[in-house]
Amino acid sequence: MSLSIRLHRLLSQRLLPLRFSSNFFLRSQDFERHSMTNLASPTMESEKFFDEEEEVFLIDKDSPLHNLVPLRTLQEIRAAVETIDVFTVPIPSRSANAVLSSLRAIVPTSLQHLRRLVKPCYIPDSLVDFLAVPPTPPEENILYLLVCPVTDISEENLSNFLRELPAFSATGAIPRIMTVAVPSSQPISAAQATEWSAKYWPAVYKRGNPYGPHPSIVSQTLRGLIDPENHILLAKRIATETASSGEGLGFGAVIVDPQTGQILAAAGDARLRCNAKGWGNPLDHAAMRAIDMVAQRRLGRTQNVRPDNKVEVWNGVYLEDEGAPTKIVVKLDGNSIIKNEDKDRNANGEDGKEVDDRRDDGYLCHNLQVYLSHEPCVMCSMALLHSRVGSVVFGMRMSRTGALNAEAGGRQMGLFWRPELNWKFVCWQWKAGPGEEIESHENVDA
Amino acid sequence: MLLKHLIQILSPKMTIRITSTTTPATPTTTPITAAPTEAATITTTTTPRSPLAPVTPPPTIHHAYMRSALQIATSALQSNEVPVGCVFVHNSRIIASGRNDTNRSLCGTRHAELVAIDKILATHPPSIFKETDLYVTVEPCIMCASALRQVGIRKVYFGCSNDRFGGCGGVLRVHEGDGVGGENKSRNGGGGYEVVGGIYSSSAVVKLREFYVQENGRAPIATSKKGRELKTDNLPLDVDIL
Repeated sequence: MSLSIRLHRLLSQRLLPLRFSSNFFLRSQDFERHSMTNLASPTMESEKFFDEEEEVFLIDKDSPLHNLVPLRTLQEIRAAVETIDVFTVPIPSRSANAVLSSLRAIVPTSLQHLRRLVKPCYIPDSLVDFLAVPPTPPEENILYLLVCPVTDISEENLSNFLRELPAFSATGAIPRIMTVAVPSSQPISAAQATEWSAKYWPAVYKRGNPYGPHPSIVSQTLRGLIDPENHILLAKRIATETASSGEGLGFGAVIVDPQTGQILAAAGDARLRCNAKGWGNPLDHAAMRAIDMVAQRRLGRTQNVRPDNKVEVWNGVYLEDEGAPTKIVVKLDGNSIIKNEDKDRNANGEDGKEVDDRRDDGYLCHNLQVYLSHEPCVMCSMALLHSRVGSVVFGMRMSRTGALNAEAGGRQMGLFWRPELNWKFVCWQWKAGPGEEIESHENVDA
Repeated sequence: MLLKHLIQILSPKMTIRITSTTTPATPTTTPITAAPTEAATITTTTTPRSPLAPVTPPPTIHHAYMRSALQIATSALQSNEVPVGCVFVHNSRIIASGRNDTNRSLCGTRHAELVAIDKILATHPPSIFKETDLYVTVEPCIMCASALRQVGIRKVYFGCSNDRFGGCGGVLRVHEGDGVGGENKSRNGGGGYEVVGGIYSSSAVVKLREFYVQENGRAPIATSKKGRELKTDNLPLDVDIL
């Protein structure tokens, strides 16, 4: 399918009423909800979340959007691996409600994301042997009660409490108290709930995400991305040309205004470009320069964003303002571009009105889209955050220096979404197809 | 309130001495008992020392550089910029100063440190940073902390810490540990730099508060700050450095 048709489809989909799917990325995974709602569970909310009518944003099978992998936040990753020990006891199902209400008097209600009462058939395979069904009359139905974290009550106190309950005092048979490890945080998606249900304990996904962007924000932002395939390809192309020009390392950045679809800045790395004195600026990274270019655009040509290091569009990339949005010309011959830039500058210099036309009154890079060939370093990631960008797509992960990814095997900083910082943005990695890999400088800050 | 604050910052030892000068009836303090001459008694009773005078540590060269940085921060405030100022010192000479320039430049990355680094690189090669120290009124943010590491700064002295986005301990510790960037490989396990915080921190904080009681007219949704007052209490303690 040609790109224009893809883009057209993408745009026509954007015209649909904006109704969010809570678990857009996980459509294919069906949570076994119906069988579980049969369980009597006075503390659990019903599954109404799943029954709401939702507009599903379906991606074409061959859509380039499939290349976008949303980054998990640091908190999401931590939440996914932390477990907590809890007590569980098998109880007769007919006394379940009575036991639960008595229990509420002695232990606080917590772990709302886990099923309080579970039928033996829903106990994960890994626990089945451990939680062997106790010797009760076979006609009696058993439910496993998740009591509370082991830190909330001692096993002895729990045992004494159970002994006093009418359900057990009559027979004198105290159920066996067992300890199992369960996820301590709530799942952030239906898929994760399904995974946990099979591994630890039946879990409930309640729409929402306390550890990162709400799924609807992620899908809304994804829908708002302007032609991500072409823009990431442009960033990579700039990276390649930058490397071959010798003026910088092979990193590229493109900033797009989602309101107009216009490319506001396109920049390559420039740390090797020598000034008049014969040395470069080690901080002239692609993302920093692109941010400077957006500012220079807003500031107009009468003032310099960086008086001591003039912001220039260079490296064979220039922008054509007139005409269709997102029209960008990348030329291999650097000389011809410099000429064009000079002409442009002279024209603007003579005509003050045109200078004003170029100005726009946006705030920093507020809610703009950023496409980077590589995962940015700490400085650039924080610069994007300071600039209030809306979304970032990067190509190659930089495991030694990248500051956006929070996954293991890297610096695990996850700067794009941290509760202690005053701005957050949604972030994707563009999975490069075969042959699309760009040479990675793994020990260099991109 | 000012006096209360001054007493707060006095060390406990000093507080006792002040008490003894105002109540000379208890002759247990060392100067009086050691030499109980008439002259000494007269001195302690008639001219009680100002509480500040005896406790101010001798200003070091670091204080002098930080005062320069504070002056630059003040000039930033007058230009409607976030009042953060810095000076870079090489061989006991200030080679560049910088102040926040984000509002004028419409660029969120033009922090004092990066402005000054631009100035330095206009005349000095990047290798100068490995013999250069930075004095900045507020702890460098995460971005600047990384930038300083990447240029290979030797040492950073700062005033108040930055618990919103500080990169030298306020939120993250970009200056230390494993990581890329920096020429000073011998320190902190590779590439990091040393930091010393707390020099004139209260002055730096007051300047920031003076700025933040104003409204940000450029923000998409400006917060109304009509009810806000400039607070001068709850200041961090200034740290004496050696």
